[in-house]
Amino acid sequence: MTTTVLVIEDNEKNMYLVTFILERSGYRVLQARDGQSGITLAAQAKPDLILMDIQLPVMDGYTVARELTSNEDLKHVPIVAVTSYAMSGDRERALASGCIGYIEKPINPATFLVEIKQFLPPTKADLLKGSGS
Amino acid sequence: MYFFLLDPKHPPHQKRKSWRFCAALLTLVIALLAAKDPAGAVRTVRVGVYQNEPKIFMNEDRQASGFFIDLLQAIAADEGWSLEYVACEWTACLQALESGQIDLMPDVAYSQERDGTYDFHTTPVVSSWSQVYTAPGVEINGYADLAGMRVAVLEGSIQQTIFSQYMAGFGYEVIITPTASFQQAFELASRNEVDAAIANQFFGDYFQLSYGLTRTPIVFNPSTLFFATAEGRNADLLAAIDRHLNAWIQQPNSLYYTTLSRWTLPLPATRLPRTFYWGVAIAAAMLVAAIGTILLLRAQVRLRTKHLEQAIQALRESEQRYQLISTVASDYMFSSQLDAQKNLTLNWVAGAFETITGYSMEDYITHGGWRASVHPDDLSIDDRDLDRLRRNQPVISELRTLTRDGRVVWVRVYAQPVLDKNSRELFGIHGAVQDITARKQAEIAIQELNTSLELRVTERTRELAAAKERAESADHLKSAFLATMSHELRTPLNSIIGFTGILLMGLVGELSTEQTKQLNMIQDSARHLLELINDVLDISKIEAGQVELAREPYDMRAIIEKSVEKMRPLAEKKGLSLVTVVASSVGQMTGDRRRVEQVLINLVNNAVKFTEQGEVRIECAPEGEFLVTKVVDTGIGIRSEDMDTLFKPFRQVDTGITRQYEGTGLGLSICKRLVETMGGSIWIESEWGSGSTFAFSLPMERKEP
Repeated sequence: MTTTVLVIEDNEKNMYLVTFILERSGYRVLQARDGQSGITLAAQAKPDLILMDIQLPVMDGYTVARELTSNEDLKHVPIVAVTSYAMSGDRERALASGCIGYIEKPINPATFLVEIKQFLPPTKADLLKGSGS
Repeated sequence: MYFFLLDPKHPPHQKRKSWRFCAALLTLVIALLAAKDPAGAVRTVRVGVYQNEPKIFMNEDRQASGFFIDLLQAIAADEGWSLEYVACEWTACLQALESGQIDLMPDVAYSQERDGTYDFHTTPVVSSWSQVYTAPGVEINGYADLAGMRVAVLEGSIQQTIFSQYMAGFGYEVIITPTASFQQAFELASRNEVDAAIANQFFGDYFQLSYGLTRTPIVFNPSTLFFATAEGRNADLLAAIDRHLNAWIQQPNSLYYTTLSRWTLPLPATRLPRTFYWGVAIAAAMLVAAIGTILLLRAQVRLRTKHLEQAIQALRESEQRYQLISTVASDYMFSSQLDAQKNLTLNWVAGAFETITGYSMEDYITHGGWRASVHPDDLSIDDRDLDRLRRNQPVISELRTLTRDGRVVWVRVYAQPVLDKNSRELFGIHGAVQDITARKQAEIAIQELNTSLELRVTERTRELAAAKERAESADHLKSAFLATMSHELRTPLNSIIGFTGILLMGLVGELSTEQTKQLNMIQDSARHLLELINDVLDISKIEAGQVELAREPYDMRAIIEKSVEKMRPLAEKKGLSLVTVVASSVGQMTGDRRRVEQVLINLVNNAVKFTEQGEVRIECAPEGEFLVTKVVDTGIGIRSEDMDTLFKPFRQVDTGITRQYEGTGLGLSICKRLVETMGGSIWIESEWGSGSTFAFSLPMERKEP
């Protein structure tokens, strides 16, 4: 089964970059351009992972994270903040609002996949690989 | 002579002749010296003679005469001296003695002062003192009797000085008549032109009868008389005099006593010489004691008189002051009494009453008196004052009064109640009223000033608070701006680095060598730009005091390893070896792991960047209460003049180094601020050309008990 990743990101180029890396690696990518549509899409599609920018139009990432974690259907979906917000306390605020991870922009394509993988539940392939070794 | 002796042309017998001449000369000198032998010499002694009959004087035949002369002639005859008399005035005689014009001076009273200028022999020739002699018909038995009397005294003499001092000391006024000689003084007394005359007792006793004077018991200034020589000269004369005096005084009928009796009138006491001197000594001692007592008593009387005079003077001055106050001051004094209608009515004023009230006393009373002049708003104060006075309490109060022309005058009232002796009820008031308008106006002005000052302070405080708020909000804006800037700058970088990464990973397709090379350059530049952004952001946060440090346990050893791993690719590329020397005790610390890592990476990065060959060594060990980490390189080193500016932000931007080595120059200043914020310090040990050591310390957490 294909792993679905919801990316909430307003910058077109960044959205393209992340989507490109994820799709090349076999992920299904859902795109949302602002916080509110991100929540709507998450509720509809129930993704395996949400990658989310913090500075977003309409509704900021902190609020989105709080909304998602307070939703019974969605609170088990891991949310990882991918952001260039780097003022003091940003990381803490992101984690406090419900994110389980924090990846600072600019992302490094060489390590990005390894980083997000740790937030995903293990796939069948992983489990098989693990039991086989 | 020298030439002569050396001249070879002169025959030797001429030399022999001169030797004979020298021998003859020598014999003559010896003969002359032998003739000077003291045993056979005549000693000429020049003696000063002044007029002090009967002790020493020149008589009518211009012959030296007197007691001292007789004694000296006897000694001279015995010693083989030839006496040469020099007549002189007393002062001139002493000067002649000092200058060596005379050798010996008779009749000199010993004093400590004179002992410094002259030499005296040891045994006194005779004792002397000054004495008062009265004119015919005058009776004097003590100092007190001298008060108001005319007294003749030798002008400029020791008697004049001492007598005047005594009289002044006792507080007696005497009329001193100075005379040219003792004789003149006695003549004046004999003619009753003065009441008394003073002379030394030798003169007095000798001449009193011939002038018809009477000796009084008043004696003073006892002294002992000697022969004197100039200091250090003619000691032999003094020794001879002493020898003779000592011999004579031992023998009752010696030349000394016969001479003494010849020159003094026969007096009972002088018959027994020993007793006489003792008597004089005892009398002198008693006299001194008596004078002392008298002086003491007089001093006390004078002191009391002085106090009395001072008291009288003070009283006089006080009275004058009172009069002055009454006439010119801004006060007036008053007295008021209950009249027939039991109303207090003014009955006496003094001082500036009219100036203060504008009324004459009569008009004032007619107009309604004190009560009518009190300002309507201050009547309650006057009520309270009157109440107190009725209860026999004095009053001091300040209130406003109105003058005749309606001016407001602030006054201070001092009032004292006067109670009726029998009924003990208020009978009258007296006191003073002082115009204090000027002071009050000043006080009011000060109060107004204070109030306006307070207002201004409040206003200024508000302004400052507003300014502070503006500054704070500006600061807040700055922070927000920086956050936004950081975000906005990172977002495009994100794309650049990300897409370059994708291309380099070959995810899009195969790349040629040149494409890979150029894409790597893009990536390097983009990463450098990112570092710059991070640095500017960091220093802004630090300057704004916005650095929040985490407090969590971390492993220092792990941080060192991680930093080394991160820098290893660059070091290997430059052919440098990275070495770590970590003490075994280094391990768990508490603090902000990311910030410590940032500092260490920065230092290692610098070291690798500025070192072309050799190694970069990281040492870490505890020192006291601090953990010290050193990054030692074998690079170009740092000039001592550059060390101070190294930690200052934006400095490196100005130097040529920036061109050669990339960087904002902010790294070290960020490290310094971070380390100091964490409670440690950072420093450099370096020598130009032989590498540098960058070190920083961090406080080690003491283990909680």
